[in-house]
Amino acid sequence: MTTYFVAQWSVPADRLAEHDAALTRLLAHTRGHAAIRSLQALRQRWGPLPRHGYLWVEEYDSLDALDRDSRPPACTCDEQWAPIHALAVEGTFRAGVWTNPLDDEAAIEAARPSG
Amino acid sequence: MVDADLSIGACRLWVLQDGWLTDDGGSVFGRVPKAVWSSLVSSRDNQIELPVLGYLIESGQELILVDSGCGTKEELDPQFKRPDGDLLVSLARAGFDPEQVTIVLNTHLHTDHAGGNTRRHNGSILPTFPQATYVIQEREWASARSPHPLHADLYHAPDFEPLQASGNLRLLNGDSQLTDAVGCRLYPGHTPGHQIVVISSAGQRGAIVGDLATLRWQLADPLWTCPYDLLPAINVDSKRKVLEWLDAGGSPMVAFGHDQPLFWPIATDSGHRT
Repeated sequence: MTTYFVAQWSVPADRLAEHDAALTRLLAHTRGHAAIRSLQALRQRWGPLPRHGYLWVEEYDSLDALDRDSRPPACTCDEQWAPIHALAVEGTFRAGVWTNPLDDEAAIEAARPSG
Repeated sequence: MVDADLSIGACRLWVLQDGWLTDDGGSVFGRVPKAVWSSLVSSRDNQIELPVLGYLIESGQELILVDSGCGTKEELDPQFKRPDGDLLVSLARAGFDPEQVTIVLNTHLHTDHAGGNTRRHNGSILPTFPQATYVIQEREWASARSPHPLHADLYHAPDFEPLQASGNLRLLNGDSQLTDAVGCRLYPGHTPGHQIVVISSAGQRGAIVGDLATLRWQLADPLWTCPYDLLPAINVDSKRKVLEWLDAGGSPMVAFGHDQPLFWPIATDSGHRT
């Protein structure tokens, strides 16, 4: 079952440049993870997160693939994520494992224009 | 013994292993003289090897994991080794994915029993079994969050704290029935909120006693306390009550956190209990 690691957080305006530099480094690091099927890093333009809000979505084939991807010592992601955690507004960083409530095929069909 | 598949009535049970723990025999047997314990278990330089075990029970629609091993969040302490893989590998050999587990029951929250409750990903700690309800005694929860100094290094907050935020935590205040066949019973002593699992189905019975007794001989003779028991006198009382249940007949199965499952009563040649 396709599994997603989803994180969201907010960054204070005066730390944005520093944060986005760390985010760029994190993106470069993540390209080395073959298990990640797709990745989206989004900044909220308008919405409920305190400004400036970010959303990070990693897509894996399965929970097992996510687990194998994150075991020490092969993974140094914690170090790459440390600046993000440090720069996030206190109490705003949330992370979880997500799945699609529909099966994968139905989700793809739902995403396609019918006409 | 590893990944053994047993059944108790309509319940199927798998023994899962998360490697081995090496410890000083004196640290396990306490006041029992070495001349006695060394006749029961093999040792090298006073060190004995104990399996780190979890159990999987299929009962009706529920798939219940009893204890989750050390987990993979951190590098293993040198005291532990995993020549055949970790508990999730053992779970896969039994034919199951973490997503299929519906209940995780921790006998107690020491890190060799609860470390696998959570996983680390990108610096975040997440439940390893995302569909599961984690069942823990309220007293154990309180003890783990504010541990006695004797047990402070045996608890590791990332093993259990994130469960509350994720909303899949169920705290119990005493005995409870999880399915028609499977229940948990509060038997304190090893820790203040230690619980065991009892299984009763189609006339057959079994118990998973966690660290109520580290090894079979410590259950056979309740006075053989373990130095890791925080409340040894209370644990003696708890073991006596469990022995009454085991002695009620029918040769029930008894499974431990660090010893092979067996059918009661045990055949001992130590003379301490028959």
